Amino acid sequence: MRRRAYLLAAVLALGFAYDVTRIPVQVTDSLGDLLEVQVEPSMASAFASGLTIPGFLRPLKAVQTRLVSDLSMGSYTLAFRGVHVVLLLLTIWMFVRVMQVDTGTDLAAAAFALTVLLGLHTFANLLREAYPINHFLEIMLFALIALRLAQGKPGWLPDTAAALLLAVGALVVESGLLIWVVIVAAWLSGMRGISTRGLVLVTLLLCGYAYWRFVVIASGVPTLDERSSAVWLRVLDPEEISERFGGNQLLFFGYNIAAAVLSVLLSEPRAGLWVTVRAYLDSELWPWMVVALVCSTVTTALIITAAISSWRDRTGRDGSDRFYFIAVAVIAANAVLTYGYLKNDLMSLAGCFYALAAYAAVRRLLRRSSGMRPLTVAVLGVLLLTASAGWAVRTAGLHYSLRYAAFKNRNEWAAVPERWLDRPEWRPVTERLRADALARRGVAPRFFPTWQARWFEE
Amino acid sequence: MIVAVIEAGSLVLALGGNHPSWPDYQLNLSEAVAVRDTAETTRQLEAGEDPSARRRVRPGLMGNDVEVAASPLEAAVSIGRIELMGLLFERGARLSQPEWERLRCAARALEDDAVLAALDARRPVAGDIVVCSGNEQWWKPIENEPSARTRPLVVR
Repeated sequence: MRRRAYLLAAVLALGFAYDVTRIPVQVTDSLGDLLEVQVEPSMASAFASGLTIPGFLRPLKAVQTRLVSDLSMGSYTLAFRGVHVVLLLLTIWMFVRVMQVDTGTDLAAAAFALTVLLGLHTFANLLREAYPINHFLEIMLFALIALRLAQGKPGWLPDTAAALLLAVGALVVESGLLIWVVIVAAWLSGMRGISTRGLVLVTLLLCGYAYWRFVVIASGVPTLDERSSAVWLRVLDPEEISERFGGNQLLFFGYNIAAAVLSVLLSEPRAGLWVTVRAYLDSELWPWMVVALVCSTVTTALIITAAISSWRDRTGRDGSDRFYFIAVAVIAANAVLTYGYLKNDLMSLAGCFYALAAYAAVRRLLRRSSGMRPLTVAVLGVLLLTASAGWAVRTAGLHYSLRYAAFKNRNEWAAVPERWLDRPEWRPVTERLRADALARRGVAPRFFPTWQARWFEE
Repeated sequence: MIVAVIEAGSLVLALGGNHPSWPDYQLNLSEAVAVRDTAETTRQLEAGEDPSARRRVRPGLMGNDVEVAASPLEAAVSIGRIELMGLLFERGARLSQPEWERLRCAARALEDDAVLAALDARRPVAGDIVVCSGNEQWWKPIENEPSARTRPLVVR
């Protein structure tokens, strides 16, 4: 059964990997970073440049970008798209690996969980965008590896590997700190592959990170006046946020944290914006919104039901039942990390662990179904059918979203801002990327079948 | 499982260059403009395509029921995109006075002052008020050619 699970995952992953290869490297949030590292004389200076950005601490992001750029030997699109595809394939492989599929029931639950992972809106941006490497996808891979280590046998190797994953992840992007949460939650749930010694080691690393960031270099955290953010039914610009929440920032932070949790559990709001509510009020409700809300709500209800059942059934619990606790910890911690700025991909790790919780829930409910009353089985069947149909539609819709991204990214290259051609060392990189993008023909949204716009999310 | 089967089928087709989600429509310059494909428009202009020449445009791309002949500029005006009009003018697109008058009359239906202003700025010959019949179209029909109706394409 495990082989079948890998086969299923490989087919799904390759399908989306193909889409990723069709998306040009983007200009927004990507070209600038790529060009900036070109002028650094060495990897060490690229690392140092990542230490001096106010509000952030991402030195390895710059190093990775520089490394891929240097190794590409001028084939930038091929190299960065290649890295993206490899990250995607490894992540899906590791996702299947941590599910530990053994039986036919496990396989059915794994198929369900894969569509939850791929269909959830928090995952879409991991494939749509790259900066020019998608570091959130990298963190998801690291977190899954950490969980796999926790599931295994203890020893110095898993402990060291866990520490390394946290150290690298935390210095790539702030979401990397969630690897610590995964390790601790896994340990608290009873997984001992990463030992108590390993736990102490990663906790020391976390303290070292905090000391370095807030005391030594004092890079601080981003301020409210840097980015727009959505609250309830509107996107507020930084001035409006300061005006409305300047005297009570905790209210704004609280809203973001609550919205982040709900966005994973209910697929609403999206980056703080209640898209479906607004569409309903404007009489512009689209089927994809209903599909997303219904299948997420049903899945969350199934997870809660299974988690309660697992809590009561102390003797019948097994490894995958630990996913509920770990998922709660990761979703909560991930939400707290987005207190100041909420974006779909920032919650991607929470989405990944939500999918693992869905695996555990469906597995448990299917296994217990033989002892249920006929009416309960019928209700469960309808709910599972509804949810799985919804997730299948959302997963299929990811292709639609990626085609859109390809068209949008390519159009960005039609007119590249002059500032990216200013320096002599930038011009060949920009021109090469632009030539690659323009040669990469996509599909104009005008040619997308009309029904897809109603059923699939852009 | 159904999704996986569809994915597998798509991947097999992709090996032959026919991925169902990524069809290659081979747009000409007028069509690229009509579907707001700025990148493709730019690519073709940079490759030396004539920005003034009329080309066949598939049904549906400019509100046309059948295949018609339209210049990139006519396509740009029909969808009210002044940035594409600017790009084409920048690359040497030209309008004769009768073409300009027809396009100016057709553009009135858009009720878009920016488009009208962009056209007025490119009037070939200074003159009086333009008299419109109200029947001006964006394109020219392709007459006596059966092939004009043989490239159906469903678009929204």
